[in-house]
Amino acid sequence: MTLETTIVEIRQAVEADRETLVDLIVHAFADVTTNRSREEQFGTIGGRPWDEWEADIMRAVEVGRVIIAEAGGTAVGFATYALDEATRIGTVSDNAVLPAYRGRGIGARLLTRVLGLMEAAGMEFAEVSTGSDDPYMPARRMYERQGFTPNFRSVSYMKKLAQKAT
Amino acid sequence: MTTNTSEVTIRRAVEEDRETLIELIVCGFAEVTVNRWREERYGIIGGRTWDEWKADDMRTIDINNVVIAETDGKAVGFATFHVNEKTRIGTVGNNAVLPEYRGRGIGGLLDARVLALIEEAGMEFAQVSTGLEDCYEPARRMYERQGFRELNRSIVYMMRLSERNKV
Repeated sequence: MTLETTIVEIRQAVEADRETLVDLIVHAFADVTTNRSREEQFGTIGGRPWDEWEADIMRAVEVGRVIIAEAGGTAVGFATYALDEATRIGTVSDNAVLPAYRGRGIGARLLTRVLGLMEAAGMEFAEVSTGSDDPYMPARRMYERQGFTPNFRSVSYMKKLAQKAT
Repeated sequence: MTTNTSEVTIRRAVEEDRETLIELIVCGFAEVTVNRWREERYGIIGGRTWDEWKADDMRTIDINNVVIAETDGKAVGFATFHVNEKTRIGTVGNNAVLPEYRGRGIGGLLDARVLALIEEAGMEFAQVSTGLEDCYEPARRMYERQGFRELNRSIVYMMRLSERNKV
């Protein structure tokens, strides 16, 4: 923990944060989002650039399941989660920190808060999915430090379908 | 294509198939389902066994998004899909064949039909996820043969919350 970390505050998101969250997700995930790598490999999807698809996630998210990290009053990161009352598995959905604020333990503090909220909500387990490529290494280390163990490794494939002659 | 394959019929599922599909999903996925691995590592989840959770997939699915493989009038495999009108990406959901009917290209026939249906629905892309353990190797080969290209790899992590490290 560095001095800089100590001035970061984690708080519950509210409806008024929505535009900030849209902005955050686009900038915090610019280097690690599937939406972007999909566009780079297969071209524009559905006529919209990757950041529009990414922004949709935050336009639709339930703000009650979002927490925000603020440094000196500026939102620099956020985490979202879901609760499943039937399986009692809580899922960490997104956890992202702006590139300029990484390496200070902010993601870990967001994660700790999310896990605490899940436990308080009666969840028995937590689950999270992340990439297995190099850019996700800090994320994987963070999850492993907090006690997560790998349960399932997967690969996603994509294919452009043959375009019919018009 | 072997002679066995030519006797296989692929058809759209109907509401009457639902109980058959529940049985198929449990038997077709017994050795390769995330639900089962969770249970093996962490014990019973939410008070129900893995096959109950897996069966739920088929209890709730829109039957129009399912195709069935039959041989001699017996359902031996199925595949599910869904389409997204906004992204124009169709996704292959489950694709499973009973263990004793594998190795005959039935999964490939199911996948080909699903891709045709996705295309007919106006989709521009198809997407599918599968496992990286050895038991998914035939599935990966099948998708690669059908022209799928790798998009990314992920890891699903899990933990019991009471065992978390306070860092």
